[in-house]
Amino acid sequence: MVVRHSFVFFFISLMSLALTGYALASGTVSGTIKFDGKAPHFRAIPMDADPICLSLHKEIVLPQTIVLGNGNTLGNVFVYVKSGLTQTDFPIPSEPIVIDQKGCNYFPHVLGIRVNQKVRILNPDGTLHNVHAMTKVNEEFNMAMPQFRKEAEKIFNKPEFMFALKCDVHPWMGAWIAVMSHPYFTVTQTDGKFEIKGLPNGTYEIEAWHEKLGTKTATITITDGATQTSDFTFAAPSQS
Amino acid sequence: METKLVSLRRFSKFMCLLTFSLIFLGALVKSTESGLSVPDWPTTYGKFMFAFPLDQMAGGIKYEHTHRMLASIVGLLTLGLCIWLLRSSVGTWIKRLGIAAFVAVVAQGVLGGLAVRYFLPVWLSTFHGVLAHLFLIILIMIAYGLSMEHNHRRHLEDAAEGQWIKMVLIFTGMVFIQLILGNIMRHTQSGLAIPDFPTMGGSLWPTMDQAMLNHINAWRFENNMDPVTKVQVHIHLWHRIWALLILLKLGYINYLAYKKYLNKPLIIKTLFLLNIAVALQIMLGISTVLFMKEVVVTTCHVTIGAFVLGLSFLLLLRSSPCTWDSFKKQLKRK
Repeated sequence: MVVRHSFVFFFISLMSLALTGYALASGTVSGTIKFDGKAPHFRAIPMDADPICLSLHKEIVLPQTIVLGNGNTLGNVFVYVKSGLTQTDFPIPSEPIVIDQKGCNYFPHVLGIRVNQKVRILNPDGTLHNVHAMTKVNEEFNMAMPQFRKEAEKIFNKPEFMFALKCDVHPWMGAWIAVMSHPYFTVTQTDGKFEIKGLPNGTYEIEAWHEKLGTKTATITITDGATQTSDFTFAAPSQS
Repeated sequence: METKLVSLRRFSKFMCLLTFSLIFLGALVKSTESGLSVPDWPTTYGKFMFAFPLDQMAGGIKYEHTHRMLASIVGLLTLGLCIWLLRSSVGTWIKRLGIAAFVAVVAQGVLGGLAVRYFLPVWLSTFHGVLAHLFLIILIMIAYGLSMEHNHRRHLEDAAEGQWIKMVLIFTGMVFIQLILGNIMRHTQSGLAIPDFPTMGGSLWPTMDQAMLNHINAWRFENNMDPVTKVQVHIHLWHRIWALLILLKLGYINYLAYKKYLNKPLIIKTLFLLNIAVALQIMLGISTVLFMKEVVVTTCHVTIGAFVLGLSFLLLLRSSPCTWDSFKKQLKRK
């Protein structure tokens, strides 16, 4: 009798472990993003519009719109899970996201933040900036950041996919922000590589967004915590 | 008394010149996209406008802030002009124009402020641009009403025929519509929605299909610009078509002047200047496209546009009888 009970207990425990393992299995989607075509003709940013900006650069500065690496890999692409998530509540990171206005440019140029996550905006240049968030869903603001104001903090309380952040004092300064309701997103560096970890088993629509080249989507299925690869290639607009 | 009138006359002309400068600065603000570089209004970065340190006027601030300061000066001087007119012995209609100018300049200032507060909505920015031209027309009317020429002409029956006045009136209206179209084009970012000239989207006549839009957007991508929509292409196209219609209308006005008004030096002189201004304006328009909205070229295009409007209106004033009743009667005559 005891042996039978022990067997049932062992079986239930084994099943529970297996089910828990299945539920906790977290997969990864990764890939590389490339650009196919001729890069735009960039003109040097006219930093001389502000002597302080000019003094911060020894060489010419080009726009960050198309950033290519070896093998035409593409940076500044925002990759995220567009649909397929069953979980809706995710803890908000306590660490703030930092946007630096260093050298009269925004760093990073493309970023994702979470709803209600703090955003720290830095002004290390010793010049005067205005930070203009061109939101449509969240409240639009145009905030003055004079030289003495080295830091400001903002919170976006609604999900909003991609709005521009710009400085009208230095019109070349622009960044793109996505306010996300979940943590499954990333931005590619020059090597074009991306990796989104911790995805529960399921089928997801993954989208890659680029400010000039539009979007590309793919559907992937994560099973048993495996890694799925999804590469994207963005083509330059063609004349035909 | 006469000395005061001479000063008032000069002052009114000075105001016209100052307003041209203000339009130039306003155009410069848009050409450099610095309309929101000063995020607050009526203060500048929290300071009283005229107390803002000059050494901090970097980047777009120097355009926007200078525009605001000159606009405030024009506003104050318009108030002065209005009071001066009301206290002078000039006709009632000029006094009314003085009040209208003051109302227009206050409305213009408030519109400018609201445009900043509401982050430059297209309709508000466009209206701000259009009202600037209306204000200029009011000032030109005041200056003309006070002029020696007007005073002299009051005692003469030298108005042109009704048909001519109608032509010039329609021409002035067409120029005004073109300025509205230009304003819409600028504020909807359609200035390079058709980026080539004399071709349009790669062909001599725009096909307005997807292939044309692809052609344009591929060119824009190569030059690191955002893609445009068909609506923007339409807005741009209408600005070009309207320019052509204005040119044709001006050709007809020249033909009429050659046939009938060679003996009227005022009309001929003004028309000559208008021809030069329109030719310059068309060259600037073409250059704006070919030089990809280069700031100085684009700004001059807007300013000369205001100059063409001013000259057209002056031609209308110089052709018309000096009283409103006679003007209406003259229009009815064949």
